Amino acid sequence: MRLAPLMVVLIIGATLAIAVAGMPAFGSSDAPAYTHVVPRYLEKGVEETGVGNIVTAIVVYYRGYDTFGEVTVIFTAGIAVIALLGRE
Amino acid sequence: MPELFEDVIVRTIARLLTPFIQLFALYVLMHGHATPGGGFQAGVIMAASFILIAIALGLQEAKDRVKQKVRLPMESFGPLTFVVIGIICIACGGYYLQYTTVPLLPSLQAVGAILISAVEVGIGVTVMAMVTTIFFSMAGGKHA
Repeated sequence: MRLAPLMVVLIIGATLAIAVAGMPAFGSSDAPAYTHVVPRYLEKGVEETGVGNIVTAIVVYYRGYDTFGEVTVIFTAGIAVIALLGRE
Repeated sequence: MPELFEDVIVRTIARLLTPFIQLFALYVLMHGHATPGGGFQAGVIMAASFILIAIALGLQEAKDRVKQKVRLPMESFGPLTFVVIGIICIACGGYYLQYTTVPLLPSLQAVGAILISAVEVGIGVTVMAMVTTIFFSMAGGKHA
Protein backbone atom coordinates (compact mmCIF):
# COMPACT_ATOMS: atom_id res chain seq x y z
CA MET A 1 0.00 0.00 0.00
CA ARG A 2 2.90 2.35 0.70
CA LEU A 3 4.36 1.69 -2.72
CA ALA A 4 1.98 3.89 -4.72
CA PRO A 5 2.84 7.20 -2.95
CA LEU A 6 6.53 6.35 -3.19
CA MET A 7 6.24 5.77 -6.93
CA VAL A 8 4.39 9.08 -7.37
CA VAL A 9 7.09 10.92 -5.47
CA LEU A 10 9.88 9.19 -7.40
CA ILE A 11 8.30 9.90 -10.79
CA ILE A 12 7.68 13.56 -10.00
CA GLY A 13 11.17 13.89 -8.57
CA ALA A 14 12.76 12.30 -11.64
CA THR A 15 10.77 14.61 -13.91
CA LEU A 16 11.93 17.67 -11.98
CA ALA A 17 15.55 16.47 -11.99
CA ILE A 18 15.43 16.03 -15.78
CA ALA A 19 13.81 19.45 -16.20
CA VAL A 20 16.48 21.13 -14.07
CA ALA A 21 19.16 19.78 -16.41
CA GLY A 22 17.56 21.76 -19.24
CA MET A 23 17.70 25.09 -17.45
CA PRO A 24 20.25 27.74 -18.46
CA ALA A 25 23.43 27.85 -16.43
CA PHE A 26 23.41 29.91 -13.25
CA GLY A 27 24.08 33.54 -14.05
CA SER A 28 24.07 32.91 -17.80
CA SER A 29 23.37 36.08 -19.77
CA ASP A 30 21.56 34.04 -22.44
CA ALA A 31 18.79 33.02 -20.06
CA PRO A 32 15.32 34.03 -21.29
CA ALA A 33 14.86 36.17 -18.19
CA TYR A 34 17.71 38.44 -19.30
CA THR A 35 16.94 38.61 -23.01
CA HIS A 36 13.23 39.41 -23.08
CA VAL A 37 12.47 42.85 -21.59
CA VAL A 38 15.50 43.58 -19.44
CA PRO A 39 17.66 45.11 -22.22
CA ARG A 40 14.88 47.54 -23.07
CA TYR A 41 14.44 48.55 -19.43
CA LEU A 42 18.16 49.15 -19.09
CA GLU A 43 18.44 51.13 -22.31
CA LYS A 44 15.28 53.24 -22.12
CA GLY A 45 14.42 53.20 -18.42
CA VAL A 46 15.78 56.63 -17.52
CA GLU A 47 14.43 58.19 -20.68
CA GLU A 48 10.91 56.80 -20.25
CA THR A 49 10.41 57.02 -16.50
CA GLY A 50 12.71 59.83 -15.38
CA VAL A 51 14.13 57.99 -12.38
CA GLY A 52 17.72 56.81 -12.23
CA ASN A 53 17.13 53.81 -9.98
CA ILE A 54 16.12 51.03 -12.36
CA VAL A 55 14.60 48.99 -9.54
CA THR A 56 12.23 51.80 -8.63
CA ALA A 57 11.46 52.36 -12.30
CA ILE A 58 10.45 48.73 -12.76
CA VAL A 59 8.59 48.42 -9.45
CA VAL A 60 6.54 51.60 -9.68
CA TYR A 61 6.38 52.32 -13.41
CA TYR A 62 6.62 49.17 -15.53
CA ARG A 63 5.15 46.92 -12.85
CA GLY A 64 2.83 49.51 -11.38
CA TYR A 65 -0.17 47.22 -11.29
CA ASP A 66 1.79 44.66 -9.33
CA THR A 67 2.93 47.20 -6.74
CA PHE A 68 -0.62 48.51 -6.47
CA GLY A 69 -1.67 44.96 -5.65
CA GLU A 70 1.08 44.64 -3.03
CA VAL A 71 0.00 47.84 -1.31
CA THR A 72 -3.58 46.62 -1.34
CA VAL A 73 -2.47 43.33 0.23
CA ILE A 74 -0.68 45.22 3.02
CA PHE A 75 -3.70 47.45 3.49
CA THR A 76 -5.96 44.40 3.70
CA ALA A 77 -3.62 42.74 6.21
CA GLY A 78 -3.75 45.82 8.41
CA ILE A 79 -7.54 45.99 8.18
CA ALA A 80 -7.79 42.30 9.06
CA VAL A 81 -5.58 42.74 12.13
CA ILE A 82 -7.66 45.73 13.26
CA ALA A 83 -10.85 43.73 12.75
CA LEU A 84 -9.59 40.67 14.63
CA LEU A 85 -7.42 42.22 17.35
CA GLY A 86 -8.68 45.79 17.36
CA ARG A 87 -8.39 46.37 21.08
CA GLU A 88 -5.92 49.16 21.45
CA MET B 1 2.37 45.03 28.80
CA PRO B 2 5.87 43.57 29.14
CA GLU B 3 8.05 44.93 31.92
CA LEU B 4 9.83 48.11 31.03
CA PHE B 5 13.55 48.45 30.86
CA GLU B 6 14.45 50.48 33.89
CA ASP B 7 18.02 50.62 32.65
CA VAL B 8 18.87 54.27 32.08
CA ILE B 9 21.34 53.41 29.30
CA VAL B 10 18.75 51.60 27.23
CA ARG B 11 16.18 54.33 27.67
CA THR B 12 18.59 57.15 26.89
CA ILE B 13 20.07 55.47 23.83
CA ALA B 14 16.63 54.64 22.49
CA ARG B 15 15.47 58.22 22.98
CA LEU B 16 18.62 59.57 21.31
CA LEU B 17 18.59 57.14 18.42
CA THR B 18 14.95 57.50 17.41
CA PRO B 19 15.19 60.85 15.55
CA PHE B 20 18.14 59.57 13.52
CA ILE B 21 16.32 56.39 12.58
CA GLN B 22 13.35 58.46 11.45
CA LEU B 23 15.59 60.83 9.52
CA PHE B 24 17.19 57.85 7.78
CA ALA B 25 13.71 56.54 6.93
CA LEU B 26 12.82 59.86 5.31
CA TYR B 27 16.10 59.80 3.38
CA VAL B 28 15.41 56.28 2.11
CA LEU B 29 11.92 57.37 1.14
CA MET B 30 12.76 60.59 -0.69
CA HIS B 31 15.93 59.27 -2.30
CA GLY B 32 14.31 56.06 -3.50
CA HIS B 33 14.21 57.25 -7.10
CA ALA B 34 18.00 57.61 -7.28
CA THR B 35 19.49 55.14 -4.79
CA PRO B 36 18.42 51.79 -3.38
CA GLY B 37 15.35 52.24 -1.24
CA GLY B 38 11.74 53.15 -1.63
CA GLY B 39 8.41 53.15 0.08
CA PHE B 40 8.37 49.66 1.52
CA GLN B 41 11.82 49.91 3.06
CA ALA B 42 11.28 53.42 4.42
CA GLY B 43 7.95 52.45 5.96
CA VAL B 44 9.50 49.53 7.77
CA ILE B 45 12.43 51.61 9.05
CA MET B 46 10.04 54.26 10.32
CA ALA B 47 7.89 51.60 12.00
CA ALA B 48 11.03 50.10 13.56
CA SER B 49 11.73 53.41 15.28
CA PHE B 50 8.29 53.33 16.92
CA ILE B 51 8.76 49.70 17.88
CA LEU B 52 12.07 50.65 19.50
CA ILE B 53 10.27 53.31 21.52
CA ALA B 54 7.61 50.79 22.51
CA ILE B 55 10.22 48.30 23.70
CA ALA B 56 12.52 50.73 25.51
CA LEU B 57 10.19 53.47 26.75
CA GLY B 58 6.90 51.63 27.00
CA LEU B 59 3.96 50.90 24.76
CA GLN B 60 1.99 53.91 25.92
CA GLU B 61 4.80 56.29 25.00
CA ALA B 62 4.89 54.88 21.46
CA LYS B 63 1.11 55.06 21.14
CA ASP B 64 1.22 58.69 22.20
CA ARG B 65 3.79 59.49 19.53
CA VAL B 66 1.76 58.00 16.68
CA LYS B 67 -1.84 58.16 17.71
CA GLN B 68 -4.50 55.78 16.51
CA LYS B 69 -6.59 58.62 15.10
CA VAL B 70 -3.70 59.53 12.82
CA ARG B 71 -2.62 55.98 12.04
CA LEU B 72 -5.89 54.57 10.80
CA PRO B 73 -6.42 57.14 8.01
CA MET B 74 -2.74 56.75 7.07
CA GLU B 75 -3.31 53.06 6.34
CA SER B 76 -5.50 53.82 3.36
CA PHE B 77 -3.21 56.55 2.07
CA GLY B 78 -1.11 54.30 -0.21
CA PRO B 79 -3.86 52.59 -2.20
CA LEU B 80 -5.67 55.93 -2.51
CA THR B 81 -2.53 57.64 -3.85
CA PHE B 82 -2.11 54.87 -6.40
CA VAL B 83 -5.73 55.07 -7.56
CA VAL B 84 -5.83 58.87 -7.74
CA ILE B 85 -2.55 59.18 -9.64
CA GLY B 86 -3.54 56.33 -11.95
CA ILE B 87 -6.83 57.98 -12.78
CA ILE B 88 -5.10 61.33 -13.34
CA CYS B 89 -2.87 59.57 -15.86
CA ILE B 90 -5.94 58.19 -17.65
CA ALA B 91 -7.57 61.63 -17.64
CA CYS B 92 -4.47 63.07 -19.29
CA GLY B 93 -4.67 60.62 -22.16
CA GLY B 94 -2.27 57.88 -21.06
CA TYR B 95 -2.68 54.42 -19.64
CA TYR B 96 -3.31 53.68 -15.99
CA LEU B 97 -0.14 54.63 -14.09
CA GLN B 98 1.62 55.95 -17.21
CA TYR B 99 3.04 58.86 -15.25
CA THR B 100 4.84 60.63 -18.06
CA THR B 101 1.60 61.67 -19.78
CA VAL B 102 0.62 64.17 -17.09
CA PRO B 103 1.40 67.68 -18.43
CA LEU B 104 2.50 69.06 -15.07
CA LEU B 105 5.93 70.35 -16.13
CA PRO B 106 7.55 70.83 -19.52
CA SER B 107 9.94 67.95 -18.86
CA LEU B 108 8.06 64.66 -18.89
CA GLN B 109 10.91 62.90 -17.10
CA ALA B 110 10.62 65.33 -14.18
CA VAL B 111 6.89 64.61 -14.04
CA GLY B 112 7.63 60.90 -13.95
CA ALA B 113 10.14 61.32 -11.15
CA ILE B 114 7.76 63.50 -9.11
CA LEU B 115 4.77 61.19 -9.48
CA ILE B 116 6.86 58.07 -8.79
CA SER B 117 8.12 59.76 -5.62
CA ALA B 118 4.53 60.61 -4.67
CA VAL B 119 3.50 56.99 -5.08
CA GLU B 120 6.51 55.92 -3.00
CA VAL B 121 5.46 58.29 -0.23
CA GLY B 122 1.99 56.75 -0.27
CA ILE B 123 3.46 53.24 -0.05
CA GLY B 124 5.75 54.30 2.81
CA VAL B 125 2.94 55.87 4.83
CA THR B 126 0.76 52.79 4.42
CA VAL B 127 3.52 50.36 5.38
CA MET B 128 4.52 52.44 8.40
CA ALA B 129 0.95 52.67 9.70
CA MET B 130 0.27 48.99 9.05
CA VAL B 131 3.40 47.65 10.75
CA THR B 132 2.97 49.87 13.83
CA THR B 133 -0.72 49.00 14.07
CA ILE B 134 -0.04 45.28 13.91
CA PHE B 135 2.71 45.61 16.52
CA PHE B 136 0.58 47.69 18.88
CA SER B 137 -2.38 45.32 18.47
CA MET B 138 -0.32 42.23 19.24
CA ALA B 139 1.91 43.77 21.92
CA GLY B 140 -1.06 44.93 23.95
CA GLY B 141 -1.78 41.66 25.71
CA LYS B 142 -4.37 41.57 28.45
CA HIS B 143 -3.15 44.69 30.19
CA ALA B 144 -3.42 47.04 27.23
